[in-house]
Amino acid sequence: MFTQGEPRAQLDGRHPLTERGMRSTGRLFMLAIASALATSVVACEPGSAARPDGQPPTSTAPLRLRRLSARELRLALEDVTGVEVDETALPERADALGYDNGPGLLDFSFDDAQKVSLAAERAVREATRRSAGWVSPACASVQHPQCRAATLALAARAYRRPLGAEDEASLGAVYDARVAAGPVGPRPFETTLLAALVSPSFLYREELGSSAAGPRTLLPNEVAVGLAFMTTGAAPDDGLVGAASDGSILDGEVRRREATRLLATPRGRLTIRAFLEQWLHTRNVTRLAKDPRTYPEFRTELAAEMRRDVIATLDDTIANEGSLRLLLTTRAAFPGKRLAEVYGVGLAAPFAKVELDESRAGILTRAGLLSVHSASDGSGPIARGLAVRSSLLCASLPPPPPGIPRAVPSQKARTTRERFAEHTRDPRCQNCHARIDGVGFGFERFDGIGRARTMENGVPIDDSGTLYDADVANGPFHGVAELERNVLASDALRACFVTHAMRFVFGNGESEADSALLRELTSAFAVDAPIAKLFADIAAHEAFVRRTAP
Amino acid sequence: MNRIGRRPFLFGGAAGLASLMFGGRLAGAPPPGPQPRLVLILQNNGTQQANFWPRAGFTSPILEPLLRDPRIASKCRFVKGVSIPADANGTDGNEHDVGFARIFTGQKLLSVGGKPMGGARSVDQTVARAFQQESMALAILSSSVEPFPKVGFDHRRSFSYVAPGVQNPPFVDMVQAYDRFFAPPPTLGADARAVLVARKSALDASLTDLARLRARVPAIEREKLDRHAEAIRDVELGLTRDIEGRRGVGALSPYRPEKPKDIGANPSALVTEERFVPELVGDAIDLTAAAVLSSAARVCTVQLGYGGGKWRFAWEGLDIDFHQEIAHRDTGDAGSTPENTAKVVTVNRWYASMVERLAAKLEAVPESDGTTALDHTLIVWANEFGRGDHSLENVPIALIGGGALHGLGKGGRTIDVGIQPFQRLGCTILRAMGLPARGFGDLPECGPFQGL
Repeated sequence: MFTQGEPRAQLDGRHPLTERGMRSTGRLFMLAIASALATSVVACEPGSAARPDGQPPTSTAPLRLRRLSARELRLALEDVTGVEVDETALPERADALGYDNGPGLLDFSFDDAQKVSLAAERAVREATRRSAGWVSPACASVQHPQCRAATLALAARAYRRPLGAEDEASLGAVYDARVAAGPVGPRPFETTLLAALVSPSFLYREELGSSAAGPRTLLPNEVAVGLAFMTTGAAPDDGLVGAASDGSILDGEVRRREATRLLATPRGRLTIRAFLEQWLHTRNVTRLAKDPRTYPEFRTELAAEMRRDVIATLDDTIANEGSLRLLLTTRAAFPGKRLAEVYGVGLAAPFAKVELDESRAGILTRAGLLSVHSASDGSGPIARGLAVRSSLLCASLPPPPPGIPRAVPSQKARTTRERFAEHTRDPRCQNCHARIDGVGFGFERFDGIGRARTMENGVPIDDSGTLYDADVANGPFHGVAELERNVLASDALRACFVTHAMRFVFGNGESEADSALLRELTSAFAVDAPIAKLFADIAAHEAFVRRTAP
Repeated sequence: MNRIGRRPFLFGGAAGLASLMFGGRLAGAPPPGPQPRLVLILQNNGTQQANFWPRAGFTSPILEPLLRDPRIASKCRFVKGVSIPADANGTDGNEHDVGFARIFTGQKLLSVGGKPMGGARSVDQTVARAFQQESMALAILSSSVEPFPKVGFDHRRSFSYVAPGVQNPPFVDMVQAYDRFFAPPPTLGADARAVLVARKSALDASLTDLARLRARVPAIEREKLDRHAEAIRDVELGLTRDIEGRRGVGALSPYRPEKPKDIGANPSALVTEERFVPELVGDAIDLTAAAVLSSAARVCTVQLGYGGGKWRFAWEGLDIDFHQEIAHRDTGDAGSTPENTAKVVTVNRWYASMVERLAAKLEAVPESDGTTALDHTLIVWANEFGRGDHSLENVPIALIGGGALHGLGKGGRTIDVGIQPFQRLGCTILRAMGLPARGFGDLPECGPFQGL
């Protein structure tokens, strides 16, 4: 059985085809977790996972600063200024883990500095344009002495903490300098708030803890901020601030209660939606390119309808039982006029809820998702197989070893399936591609923009597939809906979904040292329970407040 | 998209003032005498081995556009025998990633959640830091096959790294690059000027907060904050220039280029319209020439497509997924079918013509010491592969120009002294730029290329 602290060598994998095989840590790690669960899940009650070295399971998240993502920045700017902020004008940065809050890659570049300062300046200016007294009625009059204090109070809100003497001196100096500069240009409170909104105290979340050596517990205020961003994408509300100031936030049950409360708010539901959209990669559908010769109808308007359909389906799922099972079996869809044609359904009204047929059960059958995970000019079994393996099974495969000739698409094949079957006929490719294409072939009933099809070039569609690395779900299946039903029974799906939730919360990749925590959270996670409960479980866990020293 | 300033981080008022006075572009004019300059050009998907390396008469089917002019040919060196170990270092990367992210970082790949990232600051950023000047990073990522951003492939978006695992985001819109390095200052009224003055004071105050935070964070986070501070200072420098109505080095220079045509007005042009690629590459080359000639950016990088990119090359008469359907079929150094080999040659010949365009522009500009700008500029034209079937052997390395720089020796040669570790490329570049180096990346004692 896999245990925390096992020598890494035991995870080393050799590519099955070569002595020079590369290690695929993620795959073997997750397979080990799933395998451990297969034997332990029945015996393990929530919170009772093995703790081999007597230490509580924890994450390997280090002490660090976490820069706010574009999503978080938008909400934070809106909270301070009260005006709507355009998220596309904020720094966008890729994250290798697939989530927008990974601190490792969220650097702060020249471009980011430009964008943040301009967006903050615009928001402040717009708030002032709407009402010169938005900070405080005192600020409606430029010279009013109380405006300065009100401005600093709002700056403290932007900093998500009380201002220290140094903060007050620095921001106060900006205010005073603007007063001295005279009436031309921005008002003193505008520039002072701008200074706060371009400062690290606003742009970063601190996870630094006290100055003690070794693993550290985060400070109550840091925990409150972390919990707020995890659940609402924004700063703590009064309830959390209170729990931070009396220290009760360090109690796991208090955190569970607060997380449950916040996840039930509209902002909380939007945060779960944001997580699910990133998990499924559907945010990118509006930026996709499709070969116009193959899919002339794939235009901006259709892509926008696809995104809207996915979002509405996620919201509908979250608003109802909110479980992973519902997400992977739902038949609700919300197409506009163009997407209704793709789905082949009639509409009472654009974007009204419709029920799709059984073959379209589950979020994996939605056009937005199928379009993202496909080729630009075809259905793309490899893309779809890899998506299932990475998002649902966390069973990534090693890259092809050196020296293997690249697959060359056949010119003779009539169907996508034949073409890919031929290109993986080479026994050196078959070993991995059976695991990838085997899943992807199950999606063949849907073309590259998610339109159902029964024939391809005059040949009937075969949507039989084979699932690997999914424990009890391993084996043959027909079509996506059956794939979803089967995989719902697997420990691999549960472990993988928890892994993705941990990536979202902790903002870093998992390692072997996270295994006990992952196993414990997975044991407590049920596909029939609300997804929100998983996040509340993470919040309640000791790992949520512990960080490792670098 | 944009970039990060490269000035070494200087804390505090007096040091900040020093940075303002002497830091790169704002100094007004480059230092006297020709200064070393560096251009890195990276293409993807390998070359055609039998048709790349110069034959008798020092030319080849692929290199013919570059070697056509004897003056430029005499300044070209081609280093044979460079191989990159196909070691993904536990990441989910393949050979594309190995070549793409290792060649200019010299380090093993770094896994970030399995994604293969560069494991060190790349050589261009090391040089730019030493020059105390911002580099100009350009990339042409538009593709009709791959969307931008390409889902799950952000690690192939930039080969340039400011720190381990932290990419240097390139400009993909040439107009933005022009505006950053060459645009004249705006004409400001009193209100607009006051807005900029206020913005600058706000940014300046943020550095106080940054200093407070910096004292509390672990060393690795301190580096992150230092880069943050550099970015703020770069923005402040630009604001100062605009407030004072001064032109930057690029805007002042007689080499200031024409402003590129704004194809960004067509929203798909920078994303999905591959027909604009030749124009974008041409603009990138011209901006690069202007940047090094004017010293607006003495270090430039040009990335031609995503790592492992999938251009169709309709502009060269192909209109086919070159990566999958041509390059992968090039399974031997001698080539495969004559038709396939011809297509690999066509595409690589086009790349050579783009490199020649840059070299010719620099060769045409005389320097005060009787040399040309090309003699003071090292152009490195490299490839993520040796051959399109993912071979990392014999990666083609062209060192063009730089005759007046340290350690590059004579041009007009193919250097073929057997297998050479790829890390020697970084060491060679550092030495040519006047920076002491015994090795590079994970081979700290490898020395520069042998046989130069």
